[in-house]
Amino acid sequence: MTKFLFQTVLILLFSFQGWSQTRTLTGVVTGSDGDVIHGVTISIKGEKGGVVTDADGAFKINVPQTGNAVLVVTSIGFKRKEITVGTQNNLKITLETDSAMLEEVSIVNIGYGTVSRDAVTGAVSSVGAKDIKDFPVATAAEALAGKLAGVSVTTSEGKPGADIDIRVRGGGSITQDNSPLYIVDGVQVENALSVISPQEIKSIDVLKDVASTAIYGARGANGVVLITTKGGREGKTVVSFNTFAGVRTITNTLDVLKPYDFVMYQYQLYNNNTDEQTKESFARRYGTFEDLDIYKNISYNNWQDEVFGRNAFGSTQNLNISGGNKGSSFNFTANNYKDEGIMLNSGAQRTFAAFRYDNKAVEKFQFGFNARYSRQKVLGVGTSHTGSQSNNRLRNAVRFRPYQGPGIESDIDEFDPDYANQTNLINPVLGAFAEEKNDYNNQIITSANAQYAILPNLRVRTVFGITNTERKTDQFSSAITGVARQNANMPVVNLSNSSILTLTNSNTLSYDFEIAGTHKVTLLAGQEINQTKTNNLAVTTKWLPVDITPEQAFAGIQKATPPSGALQDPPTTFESSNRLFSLFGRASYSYKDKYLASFILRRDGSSLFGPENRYALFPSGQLAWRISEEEFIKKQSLDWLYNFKLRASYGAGGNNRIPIDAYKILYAASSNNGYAIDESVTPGFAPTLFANPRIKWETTVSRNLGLDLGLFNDRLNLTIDYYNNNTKDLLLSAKIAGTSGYSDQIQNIGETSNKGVELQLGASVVNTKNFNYSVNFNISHNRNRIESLGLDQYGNPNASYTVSSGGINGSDFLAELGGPVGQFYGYVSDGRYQISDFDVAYNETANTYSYTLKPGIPNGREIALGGKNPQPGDMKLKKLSDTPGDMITEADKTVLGNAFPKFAGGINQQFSYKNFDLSVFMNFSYGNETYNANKTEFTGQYLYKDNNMLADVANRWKWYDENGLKVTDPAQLEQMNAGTSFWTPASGQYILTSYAIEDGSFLRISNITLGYSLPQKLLQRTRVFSRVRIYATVNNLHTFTKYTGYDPEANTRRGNPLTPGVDYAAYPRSRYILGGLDISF
Amino acid sequence: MRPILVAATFWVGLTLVFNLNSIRMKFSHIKALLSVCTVNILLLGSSCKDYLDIESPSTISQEVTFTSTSYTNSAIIGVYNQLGGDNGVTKEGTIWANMADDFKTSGSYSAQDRRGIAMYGATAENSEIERGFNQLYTGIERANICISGIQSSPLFADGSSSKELMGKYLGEALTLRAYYYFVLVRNWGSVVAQFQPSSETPLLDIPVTPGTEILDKVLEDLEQAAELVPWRSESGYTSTRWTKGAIKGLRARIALFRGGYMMNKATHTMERSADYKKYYQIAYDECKAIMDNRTQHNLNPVYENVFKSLHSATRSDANYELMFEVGAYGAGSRTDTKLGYYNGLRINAAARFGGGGGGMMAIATYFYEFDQLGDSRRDVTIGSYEIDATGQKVMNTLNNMTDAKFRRSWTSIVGTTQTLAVNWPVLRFADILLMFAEADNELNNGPTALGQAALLEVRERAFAGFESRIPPMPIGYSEFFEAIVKERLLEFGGEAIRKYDLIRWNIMGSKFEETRIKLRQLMDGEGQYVNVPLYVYVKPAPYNVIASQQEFATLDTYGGSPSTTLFQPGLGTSSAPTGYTTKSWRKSLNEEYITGNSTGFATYFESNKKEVFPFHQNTLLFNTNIEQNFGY
Repeated sequence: MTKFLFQTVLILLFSFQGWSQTRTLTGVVTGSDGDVIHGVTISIKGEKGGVVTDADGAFKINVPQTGNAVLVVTSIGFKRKEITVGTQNNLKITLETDSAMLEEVSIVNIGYGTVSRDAVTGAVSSVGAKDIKDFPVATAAEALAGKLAGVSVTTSEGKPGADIDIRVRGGGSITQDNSPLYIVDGVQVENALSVISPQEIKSIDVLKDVASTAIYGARGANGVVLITTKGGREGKTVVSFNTFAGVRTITNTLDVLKPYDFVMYQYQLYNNNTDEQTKESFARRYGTFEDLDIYKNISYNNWQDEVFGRNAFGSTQNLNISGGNKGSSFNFTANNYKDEGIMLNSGAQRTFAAFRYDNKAVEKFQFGFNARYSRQKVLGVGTSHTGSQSNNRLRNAVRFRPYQGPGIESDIDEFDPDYANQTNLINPVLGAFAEEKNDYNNQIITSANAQYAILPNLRVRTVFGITNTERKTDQFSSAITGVARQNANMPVVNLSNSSILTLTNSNTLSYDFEIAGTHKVTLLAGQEINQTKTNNLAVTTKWLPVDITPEQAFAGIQKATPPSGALQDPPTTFESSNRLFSLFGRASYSYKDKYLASFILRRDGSSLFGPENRYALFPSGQLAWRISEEEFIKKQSLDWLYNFKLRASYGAGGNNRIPIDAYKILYAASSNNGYAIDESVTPGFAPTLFANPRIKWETTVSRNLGLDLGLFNDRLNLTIDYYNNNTKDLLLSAKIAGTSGYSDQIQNIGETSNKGVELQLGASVVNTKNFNYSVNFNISHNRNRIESLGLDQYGNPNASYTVSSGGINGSDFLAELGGPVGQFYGYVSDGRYQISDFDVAYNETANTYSYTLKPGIPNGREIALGGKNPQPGDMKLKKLSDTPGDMITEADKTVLGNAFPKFAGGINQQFSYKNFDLSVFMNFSYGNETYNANKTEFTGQYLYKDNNMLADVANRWKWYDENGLKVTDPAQLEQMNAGTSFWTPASGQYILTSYAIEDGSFLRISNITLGYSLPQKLLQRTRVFSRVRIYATVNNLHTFTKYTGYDPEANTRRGNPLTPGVDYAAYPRSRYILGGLDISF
Repeated sequence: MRPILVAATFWVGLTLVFNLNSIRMKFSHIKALLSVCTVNILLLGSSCKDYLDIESPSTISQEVTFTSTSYTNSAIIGVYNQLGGDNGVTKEGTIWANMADDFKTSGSYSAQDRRGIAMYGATAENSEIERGFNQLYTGIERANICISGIQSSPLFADGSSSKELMGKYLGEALTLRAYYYFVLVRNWGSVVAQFQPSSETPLLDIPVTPGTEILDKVLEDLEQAAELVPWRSESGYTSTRWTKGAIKGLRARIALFRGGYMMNKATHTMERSADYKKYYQIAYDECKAIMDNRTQHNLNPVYENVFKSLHSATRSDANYELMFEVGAYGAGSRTDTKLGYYNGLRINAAARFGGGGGGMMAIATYFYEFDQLGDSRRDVTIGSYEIDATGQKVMNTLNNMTDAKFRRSWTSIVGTTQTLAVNWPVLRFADILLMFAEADNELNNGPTALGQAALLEVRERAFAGFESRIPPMPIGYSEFFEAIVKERLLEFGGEAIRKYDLIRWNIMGSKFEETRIKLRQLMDGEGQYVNVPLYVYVKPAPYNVIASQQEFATLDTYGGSPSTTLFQPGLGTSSAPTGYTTKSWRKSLNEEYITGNSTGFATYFESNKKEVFPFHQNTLLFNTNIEQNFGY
């Protein structure tokens, strides 16, 4: 690398040749609104090369001493202009916007600097304000879904304030965080898109290839999302106000057994192979068999409607004030959002305020600052849980008995512990109020920047940022919850606080110059520090008085009284720090704007690694060739060809989002590691983990080939990228011999690759005075592959390991060499056992037939049937392995599908006719499977009676005739079951079978907006308003999918990157119909 | 340093460019630029390393730990920690050590769970043999860290004022490690042995070491530990931490096991070392030393009080018969136990005590091994009754009696809590006496007066008030040995001792066969069971939580106290006299109970195979240098 840099320098040195007789002309380019324009190309007509205006719109160009040179001024989005230079030395050029062109983002943030789109050499996807501001959604993240090729934005479930996962090109890591790095106005902000309202964003640029992200080194391997907020503009203060409000409703509910079917199923459960006591208790609970017909007339109570069926009101207000006077500008945004969840007792509330000030009064010295405050409260525990199946909160709404009948009306208010123990259920309405959770997230993000021009083209810039996040979670589990039932039926409160303080400081020096108008060089060198300190406090208080309210509990946990022999968990605190020190440089070179090259070198040091692996060097190079600028193309006078660029890049980036202190041997104290010497627990020390002193960076090497094409005056533009990313030294939790005292150790042993193609197409299809129609379309394909899982003790590659998502029994995911991440792993369903699978024996005294499985028929007794011998109608699994015997074992599991799509993308269509505007946005995903774990649980009996089931179960194997008598006669059974197809719900633990894996492909009409703006003429008469627009929107109008659950996009087990695509008790998604108003003064 | 050089070169290169390109620049700019660069380069070299070295105040390095006696104590507590919790050594007591001729696990057979273990039919997939196994090794790792840390600590160096204290901690760590290894060896035979911390072990996939070698090593360690740790009264400890007497007792127990039959993994047969008497000598000497210090440990005059003392803060074990017990407290899965909730006297969840018990069942013949009237141990050991929803005691059926040394009703913990802060007894003085008697018999080819006195002492306590019913004292070697075999059955039922006694004496197979014969006799009312009734007729009676013998005597059975009704044929019909409910007694036994595949007595036991467990499949998966035990 050193050698390479020197060569670059040498090349630069030797290019100082051939100075002709010229004079220097300076100038500034502004738009018709008076704003300076950056990135405008200015060249001398008939000559090669040209210059580009800087961030202040200023340029400097050498023109011949004599003669009237003609300057050609071009910039995307503006009309081309030619100016004949007279004798003046200073020019003020005003460009008119070209409405014919798409409002394409012309300035691209590439990290620590911007370039014009023409000069981009890497794979950068951008969206501008126009594409997101009119989306009436709460956060920028939601507005971004489906808009960028290669950037997947997935909302994990329908809960207000639900996590939104953003992945750039699949993500390389399989055990560590794959979130991209977010930089807001030069400062790193975790999860930034969730704390910024769509209205205040000027542009979002996503650096996708590692060659581009290499400028962020250690943090760049998962992509970098650069967010630029709107600044003010000099001139009149503009006030705009945007508000929308609407109602959310559930989109679909799961079909369950109706009262009669439910009772008939219970009859079977209570009577089939049970003791007398159980048989008798059926009559007590449900009546005798003869009376069961009355359940045909009992009205069905859809608990899902009771719990999720409300019309949930939501509203958002956004106020923006911006303006400025000469040399300074400001922008203020306030955003308030309040949303009820469709589930009872849930909702979210959020307030943002942001202020930005920029001062450019003195040419040499510019400064500015940003302050942003975000306050968020999410109410409710939701339905999903990352723990075991017993924590599933959706269950009550689906499985509770589907009617309210005589004598049981009261169970909304009353809680019956015996019933809860027997059924694992509580009344869903009661359940929705049984837990209270308030999740507060307050963030202050401030930054200041200053820039000093030592020389006009040599600038020092410093950015200093402080972010403070205060997170507070209060959770109350009332006496009827499972948590309380483990603690003497007394309420439990969990309080946790965490604060994260992040400091960043970057100092850069940039220098750009030109040689002979043909060689343009931009150099950047910088240094950066980034440090984070986290403090956590957690308090769990058990044994609160039974009747305490959540408010009383949060306000006075000292009311708790532990039973004798029990101790309160002591409060815990934890503190950790993380620091990064970096040096970086970038050299960009362009020759006649035709050949572009950019080289980046970054060296990072991180406190997360031991001294021997603390530093890493991340180099990258990018090349681009603008074929459309070549003389031989230009000579062709191809009017339709506006831009044609090829790009290639290669680079390395790192991922240091790993746990702290994984390299150090440390002790931590805790009462869990304590010992009861007397009637109390003395806390003890235990090793935190099995440290690995050799731990180092996960490194992604990326190759990218890209093509940018602009046709028909750029009314049609197309970008295609191909990439091949290789991530090596992946941190995997390597299973080690348990005799070491540990079960695993974090080691750099894995390797993955992501290969993919992305296509982004923008077209201004119709562009007339009254009617405009534009389309933006993107599609991407990514293929993820596990290349290595390390070596075993013999030096052979590890072939696979299984992972458990935790919801159902056993491991249900497989990480396999050569396979993608996120493979579902389970048994293949073979329907059910038929009579023909059994040897039938007749018992004369009892006049019954008994069934013994024939040899050679797979026996799922241990795996699926809870240790009971198979009977006709029981769930049957395929035996895939050649293990001896007929017993189905773990070895019969296979890969059942994969959560990642073959391709995914979005299409956004925008229409305007006179004052009306219409946009339709759809996103889609094809070829992905969704793991419908709900289906597994809701069609399985396991240990519980009195649980309702999905409607499929109505079609189960029949054992009882119309008189309620058990039939064992084979012929009669055959006949009775000729019309049924489903198996008897299994009494084994819930296991993953192919039954639960469904095609998760979908096409979602995610947003339709129809707006009307009042005519300008009318507005001018008011002398107050400059813009008034009213609109109506439907978000998540419809999803076309074969998926039978609530929504195929659910992802409830996202804590582990290896377990994606699980729909286990995901909060149902809602449709949001709203109306809104935009006003500007 | 190479990266720094590269970066510096970059800066210098940049400066050069400026130099050459800026002929027209003002010189001062270059100077300013140069100084910026220089400052940056300096920053790089000096402060960068310090900047990136950070310590979290929440954690502490292991080196620092052993330079403080209180931190060292905390580290030792961390070793004790692995004794308790859901996967602690009570797993041996409640799951691994069931079944022998005293107790078995409730429920019907499945190879995958605790019932598979109880029937000697566990497979390598059995989850109950993985977590407990791993937890023992976690304890060993923590002990290894402490042992190596203390040995290299300046506080343990000669002349250090804290040498004695650190020595005590070292002794505790050595003892805990020895105990963990002993549990491993007696359940798996030959296991992986590692005597230094894993961070200092280059290769973690170690093959197994013969159990005999491991026990020889820990016997040495215990000899050293007993020197380092003072007697109970001087140590400041109670019976929840190891003291000299308990360490010596553990050494005696391990020595007897080492001197008995052990599974030889290579030949997969139960073998006894030729020099086994050497180990009996160790046991003899250690027990003798303890018995000569009766102020430290002695028999509790009341058998029942030993076990009551495990339950609450009110102890009635002033003589410290309990020499070492695992402390339990804190209501959680990590520091408490589920003794009395999982196993022990069965109590209905609706009763005033809260629910508990029932996980372990008495073998039907065990009840009749005890003396009908005199042996106070029977009603402490066996829960012949259960507590119903109204809090009254009611007779169990013969096949449904539980262990009873652990009782929720002896705790003050009510409600649904599953953890009852009940300690687990590891070693008590009665065992010292019986080990002494056994060693004495073995070494002298027959008991001496000292050995006989030791056995008598145990019997006299058991038969307090009924001394006339004490069996005669045997004189010959074999008779005395048989008496020891029987006495240990009666004395230690449910304390995870019987199974390992049968293993070391290598009489497991014959004892199981003998028990099946007895069970069949009992079922059929033959032989010594000729007077045992087919049915008993019962009524609930008040449960007053009084002495167990008295509690039993006041059970309401038709025809009088069960002390008599269970020993006479009775009505022999299934219809109960008015007011009574029929309970199947002999009738509750059937052939399935004796030899069945589902609930039979040790159905899957095979000699020279099933004396040891299989290694769990994950153990083999992550250490392919271990071979599965024979027969699995």
